[in-house]
Amino acid sequence: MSSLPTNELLSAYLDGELTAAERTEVERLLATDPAARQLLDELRALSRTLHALPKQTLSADLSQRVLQEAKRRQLEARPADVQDLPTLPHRTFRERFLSGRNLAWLSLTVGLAVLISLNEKWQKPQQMAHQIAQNPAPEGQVFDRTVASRPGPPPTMQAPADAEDRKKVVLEEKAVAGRSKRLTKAKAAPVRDDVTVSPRRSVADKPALQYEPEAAPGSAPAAMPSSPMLEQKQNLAARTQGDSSSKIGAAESSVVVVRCRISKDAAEQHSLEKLLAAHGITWQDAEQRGRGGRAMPQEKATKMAEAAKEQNALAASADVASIETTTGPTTYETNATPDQLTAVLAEFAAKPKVFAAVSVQRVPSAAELNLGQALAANRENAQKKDADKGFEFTQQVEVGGDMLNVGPSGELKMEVRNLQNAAAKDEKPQAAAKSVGKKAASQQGPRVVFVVELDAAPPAKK
Amino acid sequence: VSDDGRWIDLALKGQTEAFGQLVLKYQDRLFNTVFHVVGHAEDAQDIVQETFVQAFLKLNSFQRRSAFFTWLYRIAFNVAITQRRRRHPMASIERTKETTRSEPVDCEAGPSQSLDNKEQCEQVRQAINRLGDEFRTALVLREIDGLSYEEIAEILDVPVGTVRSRLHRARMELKDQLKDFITT
Repeated sequence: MSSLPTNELLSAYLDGELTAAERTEVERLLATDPAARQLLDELRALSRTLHALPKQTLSADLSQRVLQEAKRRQLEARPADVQDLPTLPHRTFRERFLSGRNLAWLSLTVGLAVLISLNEKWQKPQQMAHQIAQNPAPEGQVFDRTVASRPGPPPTMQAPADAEDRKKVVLEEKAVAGRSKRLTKAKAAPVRDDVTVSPRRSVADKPALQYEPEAAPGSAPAAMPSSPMLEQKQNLAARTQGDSSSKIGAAESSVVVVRCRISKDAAEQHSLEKLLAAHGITWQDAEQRGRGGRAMPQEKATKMAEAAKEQNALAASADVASIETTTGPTTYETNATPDQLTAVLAEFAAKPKVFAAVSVQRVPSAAELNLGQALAANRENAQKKDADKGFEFTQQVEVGGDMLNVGPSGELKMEVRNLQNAAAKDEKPQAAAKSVGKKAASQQGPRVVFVVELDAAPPAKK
Repeated sequence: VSDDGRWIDLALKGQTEAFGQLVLKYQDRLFNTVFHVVGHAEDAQDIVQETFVQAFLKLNSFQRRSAFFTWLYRIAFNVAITQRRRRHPMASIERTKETTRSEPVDCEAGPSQSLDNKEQCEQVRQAINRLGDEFRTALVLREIDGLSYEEIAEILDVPVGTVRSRLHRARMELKDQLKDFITT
């Protein structure tokens, strides 16, 4: 028995894997060929030996490990790959969206958006514009005002260096009155602004005011709180553009919008202006802006305040509107350090009868808007509002000792009660005043726009 | 519908525990087979775990034209091949045989130890490890796991005739290696 097919038949005969005809053939061979019988015996012995090998078993139950590993991979898989997987119903939108691959793509997208934006703004600083949507209230007697544009960041007002001087300034600036502001209605009402001060406001159907700040080349970067993610991108962009980090920083400055409602009495007494002056916060003069954007000197501010006081304030000139006869919010464009801003907000919180419904919102720069749009686009793609509730790229940023939540569009979310806590410590206003005195000359604060609306209802009744 | 089919249905509906039942049912059988193919317990366990993970992730692609365990074994051998390429990218079959030859084998485990002693057991396993991959695989599936030629052909994706010839050649090689203590 030498042919290979015959040997194979013997092996298969041993395994019972032959057809009837083949089996008959093999049995005939075995009956006549001792070598075939010998080989078959050896194969049987080998088979017995192999069967005698001890069976190997696992000491542990793999099922939990397997399922955990499978779930982990599902989280890493792209949504398209995951859709048909057995446990898809158990995976939340958050899990799918926040998978490693998605975040990687999102980071890449956002990074590109920021770099493109930075590049555009660097090349065309004069064309920079971003908008703050304003929503004039339909009710009440208020008028719309806005600050037009600002060619460059104003220098901060020189502030007293110690408490004595500060008191003096406070006394002097008690006379500071309302300010003239240019009224410019915006053509359109674009822009994000999903945070409203008053429930009476409506974003969609209100005309908006346009705000077009322009960062002067070489101006100091705003010391604004920004999301760590954005800062990372900015740093990356700065590195890629050599030593232009300060210019980029200026281009990236954003705006903090502080909204509040004040009582009629407070408006007539120019409480906000006095409060801002008390903390060394200057605001933009419309005439100065028109001539090149210098900030109003303190002397002039004082004189204006005195004049306003004598002339019963804002109703005196065509450029100055009376709060009693107009509708809409009044805006004050200022520069304030985080400490100054915190101190002002602390006073807001301490005087709820004067300043009601205070909210703070950071309107992102154009680059941040791109970031926000990228995130918003992803959210829209999800089209699952319920699932979306669990998804927020909220990050915490410290501003003046308060931890603020930065939302997906870069907006800040600050509650007045947090500031009340800050005020209760009785340290921050003082610290802020101190920093005003020591740092105001050298420290360029972020752009802060105070949007003040007349409170139709007496605050005390709220 | 078999138990396997019922558990598969439940797993596809999101009840992952049902797939856990399949793991429990087949893990030891698969491990024993893979162990004799790769010759190393840790590697075998990794392969078995990875096999079940992939089976879970691809469960909806299981057409049920064959038995679940057949499909599972097919995944396992693909995983084993991939893993060995990853760990020994330049290793030839001969080199692989060299590396597996000295790896430890457990001849004390298991209830059915009927070989005369531990040394014999180890000799048999080393002889198996010295077989070429395709012959060893066919031999293990037949002699250790008791699969039919058709099932082996399906798992290895080769014709039944190829299984037959590989199996016969594997036996002949092994017989020569173990001729000293194979008693007829």
